[in-house]
Amino acid sequence: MTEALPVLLVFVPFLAGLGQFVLGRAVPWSQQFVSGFNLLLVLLLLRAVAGGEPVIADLGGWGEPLAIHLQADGLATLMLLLTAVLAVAISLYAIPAFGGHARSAWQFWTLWPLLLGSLNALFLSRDLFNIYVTLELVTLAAIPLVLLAGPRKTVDAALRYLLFALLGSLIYLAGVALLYAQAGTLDLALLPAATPTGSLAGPLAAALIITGILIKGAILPFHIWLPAAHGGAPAAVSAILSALVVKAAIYLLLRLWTGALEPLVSIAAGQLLGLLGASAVLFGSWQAFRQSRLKLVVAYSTVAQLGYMLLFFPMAVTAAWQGAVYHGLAHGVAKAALFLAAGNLLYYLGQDRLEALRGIDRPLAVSLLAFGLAGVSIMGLPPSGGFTAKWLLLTASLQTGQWWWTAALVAGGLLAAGYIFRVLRLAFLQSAEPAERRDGPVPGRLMAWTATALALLAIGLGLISAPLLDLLGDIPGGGS
Amino acid sequence: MSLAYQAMPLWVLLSSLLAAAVIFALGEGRPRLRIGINLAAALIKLVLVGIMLLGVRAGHEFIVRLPLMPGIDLVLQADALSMLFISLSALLWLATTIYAIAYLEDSPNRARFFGFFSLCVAATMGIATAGNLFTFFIFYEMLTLATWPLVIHRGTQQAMRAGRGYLCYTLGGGAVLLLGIVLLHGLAGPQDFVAGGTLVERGESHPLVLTLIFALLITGMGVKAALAPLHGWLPTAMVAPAPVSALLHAVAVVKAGAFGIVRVVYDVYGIELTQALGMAEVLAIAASVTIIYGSLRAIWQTDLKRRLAYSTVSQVSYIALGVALANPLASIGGLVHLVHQGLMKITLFFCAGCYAETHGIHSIDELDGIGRRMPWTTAMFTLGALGMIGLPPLAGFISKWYLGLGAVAAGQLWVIGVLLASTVLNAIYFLPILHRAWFRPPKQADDSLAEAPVGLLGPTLFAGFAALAVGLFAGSGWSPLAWVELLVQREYSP
Amino acid sequence: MNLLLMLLPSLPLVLGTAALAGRLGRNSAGGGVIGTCVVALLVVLLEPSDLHLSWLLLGTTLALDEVSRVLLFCAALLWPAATLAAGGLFEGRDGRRFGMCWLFTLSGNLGMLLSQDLASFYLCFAVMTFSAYGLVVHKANHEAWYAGRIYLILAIGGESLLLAGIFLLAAEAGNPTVADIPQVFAALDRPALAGGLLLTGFAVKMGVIPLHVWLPLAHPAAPVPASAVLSGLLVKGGLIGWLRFLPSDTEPLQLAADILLLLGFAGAFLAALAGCLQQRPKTVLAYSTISQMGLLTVPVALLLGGRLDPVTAMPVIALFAGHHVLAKGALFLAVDHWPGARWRRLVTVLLALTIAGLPISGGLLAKAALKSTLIEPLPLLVTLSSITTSLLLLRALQRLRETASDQPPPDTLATWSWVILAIAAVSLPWALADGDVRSYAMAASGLIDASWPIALAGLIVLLGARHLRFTIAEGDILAPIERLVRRMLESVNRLRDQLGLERAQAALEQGHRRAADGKDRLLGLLERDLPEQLVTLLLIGLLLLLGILLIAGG
Repeated sequence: MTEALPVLLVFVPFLAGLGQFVLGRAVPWSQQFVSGFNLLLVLLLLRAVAGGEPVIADLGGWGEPLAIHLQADGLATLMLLLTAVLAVAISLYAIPAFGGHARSAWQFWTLWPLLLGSLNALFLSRDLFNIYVTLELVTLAAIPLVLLAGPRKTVDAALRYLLFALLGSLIYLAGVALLYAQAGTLDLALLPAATPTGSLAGPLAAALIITGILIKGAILPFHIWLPAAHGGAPAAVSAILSALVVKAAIYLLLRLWTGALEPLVSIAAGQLLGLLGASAVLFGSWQAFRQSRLKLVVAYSTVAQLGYMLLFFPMAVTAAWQGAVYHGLAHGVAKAALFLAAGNLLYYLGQDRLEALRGIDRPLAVSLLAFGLAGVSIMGLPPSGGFTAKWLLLTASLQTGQWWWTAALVAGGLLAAGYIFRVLRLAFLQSAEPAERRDGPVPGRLMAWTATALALLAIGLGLISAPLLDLLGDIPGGGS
Repeated sequence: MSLAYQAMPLWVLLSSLLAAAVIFALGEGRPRLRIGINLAAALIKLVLVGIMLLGVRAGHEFIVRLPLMPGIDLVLQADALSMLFISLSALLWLATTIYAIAYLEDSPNRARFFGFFSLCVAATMGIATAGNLFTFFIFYEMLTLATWPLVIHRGTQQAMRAGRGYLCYTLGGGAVLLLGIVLLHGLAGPQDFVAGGTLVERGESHPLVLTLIFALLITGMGVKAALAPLHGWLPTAMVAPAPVSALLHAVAVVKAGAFGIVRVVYDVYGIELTQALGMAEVLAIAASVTIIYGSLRAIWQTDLKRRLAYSTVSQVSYIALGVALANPLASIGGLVHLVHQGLMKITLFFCAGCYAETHGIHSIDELDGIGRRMPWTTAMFTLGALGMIGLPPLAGFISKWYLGLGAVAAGQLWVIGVLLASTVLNAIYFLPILHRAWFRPPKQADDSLAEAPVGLLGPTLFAGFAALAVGLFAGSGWSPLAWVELLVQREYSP
Repeated sequence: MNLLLMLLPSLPLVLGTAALAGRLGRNSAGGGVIGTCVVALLVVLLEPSDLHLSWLLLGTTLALDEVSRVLLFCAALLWPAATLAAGGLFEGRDGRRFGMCWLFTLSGNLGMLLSQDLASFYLCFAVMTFSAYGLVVHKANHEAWYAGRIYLILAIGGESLLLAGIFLLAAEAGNPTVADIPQVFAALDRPALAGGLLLTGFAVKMGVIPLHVWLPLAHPAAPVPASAVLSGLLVKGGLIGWLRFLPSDTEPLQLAADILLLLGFAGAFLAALAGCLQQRPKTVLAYSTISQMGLLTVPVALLLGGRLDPVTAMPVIALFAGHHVLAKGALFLAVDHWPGARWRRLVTVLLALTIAGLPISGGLLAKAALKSTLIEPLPLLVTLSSITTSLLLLRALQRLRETASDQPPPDTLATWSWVILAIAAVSLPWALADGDVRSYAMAASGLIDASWPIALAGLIVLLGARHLRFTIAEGDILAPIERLVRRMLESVNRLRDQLGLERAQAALEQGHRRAADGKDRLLGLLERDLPEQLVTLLLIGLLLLLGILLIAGG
C-alpha cells in the first residue's frame, strides 16, 4: 500500500491539472479536493517514513539501470509536507483571489496542480536525469503563472526568468552529461561509488551541476531575475514561487552535496558557497530594506533567506544540516504568509507603494497581524521556526569553530528586523489628516485568515521542531 | 500533587496569552466585553499567582517541561525568585489595566493596545517562570515584540522614532544575548537554572570563554535593564502613553533585564564563579556608573516623564549592584529593590499620567501649585519621590539600607559613597518637583480642586500606598523583604 | 497599655491624612493635637513598658528614657500652644497643605522622642525634617523659598552623613537598639568613622557651628508657631540622636568629643555676638537658639569624651533642654503677643530674662545645674555666656519693640495656652532640679552670679545700643559660601557648554545624514551602471572559479 503513495503523489495532481485544462474553465473546488488529498497522502507517507525506512516505488518495473525509482526519505518527506501544507492554504486563498477573472482563473487552476505534481515528482526523484526533467517541468509551469498578473506588467520579468531558467538548465544538463560519461549511471545511490576521482572531468561536472542549480535557486549573484518575477506575480503565485519553487533548487543542492556529489566536492567549494550565502543574506536584506514597494521588499527578503540555507555547505555537520532544512521549512511557511498578507494589502490599496501603507492598521488588522507574525519567523526571533533554524545554524557555526558565519547570521536577523518593522511602522503611523479613501474592497475572511494561519504555523514550527527534526535525521553519510 | 497543579506556571502564562488572543479576535467593537475580559484575566492571574505563592512557600514544586528541539526543553518553573517577579507583575498588571482602561477611554485602537498589553504581560510571566536560559530568551524576545506596538501606540512621528530606537537597542541586545546563550550551550549543554549555578567546575577549565559569555549575556540583558551606555532607548520611549511607561519601567521590560542579570549571576554562573572570574566587580562598577550617570542626566531634564525615565536608569542598577556585591545583605537589597522600585516607579508614572490627562501637564515647570488642585495625586507623587530618595519608611529606604549594609559587609566602602551620592542626586532632581507642586502658587488663576478621575486615581493610590506599606511593614512575615530574605538564605546556603 | 506609645506617632499621621483630604478645620486640628498631647502626658505619667513591634519597618522599639520623658512632657505643652496659635493657618487655600505638614512634623517629632532603634529613629527624624520643610516655606515668598532651600540642602547633607554612619553601624548589628550601641561600637572596625558621621549628621539639626546657617534663615521665614516648634523641639532631634546612638567614653571618639566641646563654646559666644548684629527679632531669637544649643552641646561633648558620667549628665541635659523647649517656644510665640496688652509684653520680658538666667527663674536653675557638672574653668565660661545671652535677648526685645506691627493679638484659647507654657518654663526646672542646685540658686552667691551678667548686659545696651550701626546678613557665613558655590557651578556649566554635548550630538546627526546621502549616491551609481552584461561576465567567471576550486579540492 505505502509503495503506491509516491506514485499517487505525482499522478493525482497531474491528472487534475489535465482535467482542468480539458474542461476549459475554472473549477476551483476540485483543486481543494486535490490539495486536500495530496496532504492526506503526504501524511500517510509521513507515517510510513517515520518508521525509519524510506519508501520506494518502482515505476514500470524495469531492471536496475533503467528503472525509475520514486523514493521518499526524511528530507523528501519534509519537503513534500511543506508543499502539501502550502498547497492547501494557497489553494484556499486563490479562490477569492482569482474569483472574478474567468480566463486567468482557468489558467491558474490548470497550471497550479501541474506545478504541484512536478514539485512532488522532483522531491521523489532519485536520478539526475529525472531530476532534470522535473526541474524543467517546474520552471515551465511557474513562468506562465508569473504572467497571470497581466502580461503587460510582467512580461519582462517573465522573459528574464525564462532566460535564466534555460541558462541554468543548460549548464545543469551539461554537467549531467559529463558525469554520465564518467560514471555510466545517473542513479543517485549508485553515483558515489561509480564516480572516478582524480580526473578533471568529475569536478567540472559537479561544478556545472551546482552552478546550474544556483542559477535556478536565484542565489547571489544569479538572483537578478527573482525580485521582478516574484514581486510582479499575483500574490498566490508569488507565494508559490518564493516558498516552493526556488526552495526546490536548494533542496536539490542539499541532496546532491550530501549524496551523489560527495566525493567530488571540496572544503573550499563549501566555503565559497557559504560566502555566496552570507553575501546573499546581507545584500538581500539590505536591498529589501531599501525597496519602496511592499512586494519587492518581500521578494528581496527571499533572496536573503535562501542565503541562510547555503550556510550548510561550509559547516556540513548535523546541526547545520538540520538547521538548513528547517530553515527551508520555516521560510517556506513564513514567506508564503508574507506574500499572502502583502497580497491582501495590495488588494485593498490597489498599489503596493510603502508610502500608501500609512495608517492602514485598522481595516487590515488581521493581515497585518499575519505579516507581523510571519515577520517574527523571518527575523529569527523566538518562538518560531526561523528561530529554531537560526539556533541550529549558530550552534553549528560555533561547533565547527567557523565563527564568521555567526556574524552573518546575527546581522541578517537584525537587517530582517529592519525591513519588517519598516513596513509595520508605516502601517501604525497615524497621519494628521483623515485617512484617504481607498478604492479596493477589504479582503475577505478567507484571504485574511489563510495568511494568518500560515503565519501562526510559522510560529508554531518553533514549538514542534523535535518530531520533524527526528524525521529528518542526521546528516547523510555522517558529515565530512 | 496533580499534574494540573504542577503545571501552574503554564496556566499563569496562558491566562494572559488567551486574553490577548480573545481581545485581538474581538476587535474594536464591544468595549465592555473587552474590559470585562481584561479585568477577569488580571484577576484570575492574581488568584493563580496567589495559589502558587502559597505553594512555593509550602515547598511545592511547580514545573512544566515541553521538548522543543532535540535536547532543548521549554521549561516553566516557579521558584522563590520567580515568585518575587511574578507577584509584582501580576499585582501591578491589575492596577495598570484599570489605569489604562481609564486612561485610554474613547481613544482609537484600544483593541490593539490591550491585546499587546496582555501579550506583554504574558511574556513577562514567561520570563519570570523560565526555567533555563533558552526559555528565558524566547520570552525575552517576545517581550520586545509585544512592547513595540505599545511604545508607538500614539502613531506620531516622535513615537515612531522612539519605537525605532527601542527596537534597535533591544533587538541588538537580543542578538548579543542569543550569541551568549548559544556559546554557553555549546560549552556546557542545556542548563536549567539551579541555585548556585551549574558552571563551577567548568570555571577552571575555560575561564576566558566563560568570561566572554558572561559579558555577552550581561550586555544582552543590560540593554533592557538600561545599564549605561545601553540605556538610550528608555528616555525616548517615554513618549508612550502613561500606562505603557509604567509597564516599561516598573512591571515588565526594564525589570526583565534586571531579572535576567540576577538569573545569570545566581542560577547560571553562581556567585562564586562570578567572583572568581572577576566579573562581579566589573558589574558592580558598571552598575555604579549607571546609578550616578542616570541621576546626573535626570537633573537637567525639564520634561516630567523624561526625568522619571532617567531616574529609572539610575534606580534599576541598584538591582545589579546588589547582585554584584555578592554577599547576602547586598543581595537582599538588590532583589527587594526589584519589587520596591517597581512600586515606587509605577506610582510616579501613574501620577505623571494623571497630571497629563487631567490638566495636560507634561513639563516640570507647569507643575506649580498642582498640589492645591490635585492633593491626592501629588501626595502619591511625593511618596514615590521620597521613596526614590530613600527616605524611611518608604520602600526605597529598605533597599538602600540592605545595599548599604551589604557594601560594608563586603568591605566595599566606595559603594556607600555611590549610594549617598545617588541619594543626594535623587534629592536634587525630585525635591524641586515637590517644591513646585506644593509650595509654588499656581500659574493659572483657577486653582479649584480638580482631581484625576477615579479610574486613574484609584490605581495610583493603590500603588503609592503599596510603596509605603512594603517599607513600613518590611519586618512582617508577608513583606517582600521577608520573601527575599528567605530566597537569599536558600541561595547562599545550598 | 504600652500600645499608647504606638498611638503617639500614628494619631497625628491619621490626622495629617485627614488634613490632606480637606477634612480638618482649625478646630479639629486643635482638638486633635490636644488629644494627642493628652496621650503624651499620659505616657509621661504612666511610664509604660517598652513596646517592641518586629513587623514594623525593620523591627521597631518604642520606649521613653530619662531625657525624652522630660522632652515629651515639654512637647505636650508646646505643641497645643503652637497649634492654637496657628489656628488660621489651617484654613484657606493652603490650609490642607499646612495641616498635613504640621501634623506630620508632630508625628515625626513624637516618634523621634520614643523610638529606640536606629531604623525607626531615622524614620521619625526624616519625617520630622522633611515635613518641617513645608512649615519653613509656608509663606511661599522668595525669602521662604530661599530659606527652605538652604534648610533642605543642609538637611539632606546631614541625612546622608547619618545614613553612611547608620550603614556602618547596622552592618555590624542589623538594626541596633539603644541598649546595643556600646557593644556595637566596641565591635566596629572603624568606630571613629561611624561615630564621626553620626555626630556630624546630628550636629546639623542641633545647629552646631558652622552647620547652623539654616536656623537664622528658617526661623524668620516660617510662620510664628512653626518657628516655635522648630526652635523648641526640632533642634532637639540632634540631641536625642547623639545621646542614643553614640557611646559615652569611647577612646576613638575622644578627638571628636574635644572638637565638639570647642564648637559648643564657640557657638555659645559667636552666635550670640552675630545675633546682636541682626535686625529682625525672630532672627535674633534664632541666634539665641544656636547659642543655647552651643551650651547644651558642652555636657554632651563631655559625656562622649568620658569626662562626665551619664548618671550625673543625663538629668542636667534633660533639665536644660526641657527648659529651653518651653522658654524658647513661648518666646517665639510671644512675637505675636507683643503688639497686644501690656501684660503680654511683661510676660515676654520675663521669658527672655528666664533664658538669660534671671534669679529664681527656671533658667537660673538650668544654668546652675549645668555649671555644677563642669570642671574648672568651664563654669566661668558658662557664667560669661550669660552676659552674651542677656545681650542677645535684650537686643531681641529692643527689635521687637521697634518693629512691632499692629496685628490683633491671638484669641483667648491661644493666649491661655501661651501663659501656661510660660509658667511651665519658669517653674518646671524647680520640679526637676536636685536639692544642691536648688539651694545654690537660692543662695546669695547664686543670686549674685545670676544677676551681675544681666546687669552688665543691660548697662552695655543702655550705653552702646545707639552707636551700633554695623549689621551682618542673616546666616552670617552663608553669603560668602554661597558666592563660592555659585561661581563653581557657573564654571561647571561653562565647562559643559565648552564640552558641547549638545553640539556634539548635532554634529553626529549631521554626519549620519551625510553618510546616508553618500550611500544613496553610491548605490544609485551601482544600480545604474550595473548592466546585465556585467552580470553575465560575472556568471561565467564564477563558473570557472567554482570549477577550479573543485579541482583543487577533488
